[in-house]
Amino acid sequence: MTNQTLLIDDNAFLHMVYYLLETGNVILHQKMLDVTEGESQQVVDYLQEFYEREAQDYPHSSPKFDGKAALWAATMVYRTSQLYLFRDQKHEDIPTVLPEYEGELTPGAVLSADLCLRFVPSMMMHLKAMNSEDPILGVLENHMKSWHYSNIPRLNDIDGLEMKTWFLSDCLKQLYIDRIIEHKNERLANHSACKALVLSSLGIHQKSYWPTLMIN
Amino acid sequence: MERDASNGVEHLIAVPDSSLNELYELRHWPSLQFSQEAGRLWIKGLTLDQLHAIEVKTLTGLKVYEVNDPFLHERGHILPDIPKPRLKWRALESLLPVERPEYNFNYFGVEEELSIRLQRSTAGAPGSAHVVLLDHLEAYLSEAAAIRLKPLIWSIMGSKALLMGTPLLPIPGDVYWHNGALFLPEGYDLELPILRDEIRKKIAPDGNKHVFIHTDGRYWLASASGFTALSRSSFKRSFVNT
Repeated sequence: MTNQTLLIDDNAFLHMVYYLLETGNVILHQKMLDVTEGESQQVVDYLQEFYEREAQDYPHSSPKFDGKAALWAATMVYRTSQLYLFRDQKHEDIPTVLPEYEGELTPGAVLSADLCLRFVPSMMMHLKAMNSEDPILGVLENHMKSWHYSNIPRLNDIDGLEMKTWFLSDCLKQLYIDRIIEHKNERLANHSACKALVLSSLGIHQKSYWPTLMIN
Repeated sequence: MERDASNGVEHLIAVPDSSLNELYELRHWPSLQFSQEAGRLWIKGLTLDQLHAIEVKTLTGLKVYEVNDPFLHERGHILPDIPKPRLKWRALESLLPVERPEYNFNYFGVEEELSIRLQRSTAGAPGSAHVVLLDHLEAYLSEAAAIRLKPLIWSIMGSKALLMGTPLLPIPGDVYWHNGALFLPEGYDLELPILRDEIRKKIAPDGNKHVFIHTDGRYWLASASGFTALSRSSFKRSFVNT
């Protein structure tokens, strides 16, 4: 980790992502900071190392790390953290600051992006508390609709969720179900694609793992 | 349930404090309550049958009262005898504690031992310890739902793993339940369950060991420290260099 610490000092992007992943705390910045390609690469390297560490706990065989998706998600979280305090962008420009992901949402991409995206639901909660009309919220909401694995804790609207291709990966399928159970998202547990999987994960001890669950 | 034949009349009995020991005869009757007041012991909750039982009738200094708020009539009296005292009720068992005598180890000769014998039993709590083959555990872990691993801790014992917690995993292995002092095979209990604390004290006087009993009465110990939360990564880390 000493190597990492040295790098962190002069790479604000890495600094922010590192503290977010290791401690769950966000470092806020007063202005938009440019990120060089080298700095981005350091972040990707760090995320890959983190992914491989975490994948030790994944069920089945974990999909390959997707650097592009991971970097996109890290950038998104980094920029969102900057927009907390300071904004010289116009409202219309927000979508360009937080652009859509260009690429396919493969299981590898979903899990790699999740390293950072999993913090977005709570970031949105804080943004909402400051200003519930903030245009960022709509943009983030839109992104999270596609990346709903990272949004399971607050996912309410389950119509039209696309998970068929994700569930082709046994690993992501089980992780998705695990997260439903962990956050006790009852509505999602009743989704036709998840219902049977949730029940088989809980097995005969459903009452002790999730006593309040009602499956229709 | 027995019908209340007393026409709803509540009875209280009172005995002087000195008759306390005689009340042990009544201890096994359920739902009796007592109160202490001015040198007398009051008891309520007796059924009509119990009121006429020999155990009650022979109490020294007994007085039987019918309650007619706010007075008490002595049984058979038409006029009230005394105002009803203000009483706080408690379960009779708490007044009359029962102590189990200390197990007298000296009673046996020096060479003699306390033998452990098990018998089949349907009593017992759900299994909370599980000895499984590492191969089975590995195969199960690779696909398991996270929620199943969460309540469990584990430790390695040679080619086997010892899992502890509830609920256990649905894999083959030896399941043990905990009777408060010892881990016993599922479906078995001590022939004399009352000896569990003495057996534990004799085998492992200090608390940092778990005691497991085989069906044939032999036992083995597992150190209570050295367990770690069960997860895929902790399993993998345990075998990195083997």
